[in-house]
Amino acid sequence: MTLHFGLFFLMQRDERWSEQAVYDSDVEQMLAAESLGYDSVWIAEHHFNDYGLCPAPQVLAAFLAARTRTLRLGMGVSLLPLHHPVDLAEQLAVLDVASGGRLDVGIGRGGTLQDYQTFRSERADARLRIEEGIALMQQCWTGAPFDFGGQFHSAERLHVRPRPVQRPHPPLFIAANSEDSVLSAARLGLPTLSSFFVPVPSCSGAVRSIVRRRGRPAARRRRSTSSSAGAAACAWCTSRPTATRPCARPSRPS
Amino acid sequence: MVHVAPDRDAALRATEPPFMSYQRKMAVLRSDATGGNVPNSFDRSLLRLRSFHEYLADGWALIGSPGEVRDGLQQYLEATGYQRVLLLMALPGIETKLALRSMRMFAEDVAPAMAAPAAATRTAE
Repeated sequence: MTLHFGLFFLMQRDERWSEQAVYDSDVEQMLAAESLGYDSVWIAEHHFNDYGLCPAPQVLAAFLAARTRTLRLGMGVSLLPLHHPVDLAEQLAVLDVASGGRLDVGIGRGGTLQDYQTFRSERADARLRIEEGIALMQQCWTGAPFDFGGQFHSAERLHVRPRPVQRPHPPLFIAANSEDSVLSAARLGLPTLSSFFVPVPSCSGAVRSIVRRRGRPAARRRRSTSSSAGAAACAWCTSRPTATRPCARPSRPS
Repeated sequence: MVHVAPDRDAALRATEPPFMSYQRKMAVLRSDATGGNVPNSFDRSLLRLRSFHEYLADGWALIGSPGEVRDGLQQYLEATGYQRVLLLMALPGIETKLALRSMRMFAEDVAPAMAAPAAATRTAE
C-alpha cells in the first residue's frame, strides 16, 4: 500500500498578477513536480472567471506532456456537460496517445449558468448529461465502430480515432461533493474525486457510509474498479484498490 | 490546501493573503448571484467568508512546519482511508519561490515520513 501525492492547479489570478504571470508561475510548479517525485498534476477547467484561468486543461496538459516523461496528467475536472462528449473523447484520446498513456480524466458538472448558456447546455440536466456523456465517451474509446442512442446525443457507425493507449481507457473519476454525486458515481461504477471546500472531516463519515451501503455493491455490479468518496479541506482525494488495478500507473501499451 | 515552510510563522506569513484571496474568489463564484455552481444538496453555510484563523481552526487547510503538516495529514488519512491525495499549493498570488519551497519540503520532509492509513486496507478490499 503506497500513498500517492499529486498537485492540483486552479490557475487562480490574484488581482495584482497578469494572466501571463499566473501561467508562468503555475507551469513552473507543474514542471517541477516530476523531479520532486509527485505522481501527478491535475488542472481544473473554468470559464469566464478569475476563479480559474484555464478553460482548456487538455491543451495545457499537452504542453506539459512534451516537457515531462513520467508525470501523470489529470483533468481536474473536465466539465463534460459543456462539451460534446465525442469532441472531448477525441481530444483526450489524442492527449493519451501523445503522452504515452499518462492521462487521468476527472469529470464534473460544475460551471456557472453563464457557462451553460454560452455552450448551449442545460444545468438542470447536468447529471443526466454526465451519465450519458460518460457512456458515450467510453464507447468512443473502444477503438471499434458503434451506434449510440441517447437523450442528448446519438451516433451511428461512429469510429473514433485514435484509440487511447491505456486499457480499457484512461482512468475516469467523478467529482463528488454531494451525496447525489457520490450515488451517481456509484451508478457509473467509477471512483470519486472529492473536493477541498468542506472542512476535515465533517462529511467524510457520512459519505463513506453511503458508499458502504450503496456505492460498493453498485460498483461491483458494474465490475468496475472501485468507488470511494469523501471530502477534504486540504485536498482532492480518492482511493482505488490496488488489487484490481495498479494505482499509480494504469496499464500502458506493451 | 497545504503549505509547508520551515516553521509555522513563516508558513502563515506566506499563505494568509493568498489563502484569503482564494476564499474570496470561491465565495463569489459559488454565490447565488452568479448562478453559483454548488449542488442544491450542499450546505451553503460552509461557504460563509470568515477569518483566516477561523479557517485554520476549522481544518480547511494544513499550513505549518513539515512536522505539523505531516501530523495533520496523517490524521486526515486515518479518518478517511484515502491513499491518493491531491495537494492545492498554488494559491492565487503566492510567490512562486515559496510555492516551490513548499512543494520541495513536502516531497522531502513530509511525504516520506507518512504511512498509508490503516483504514485503506478496508477501502481496498
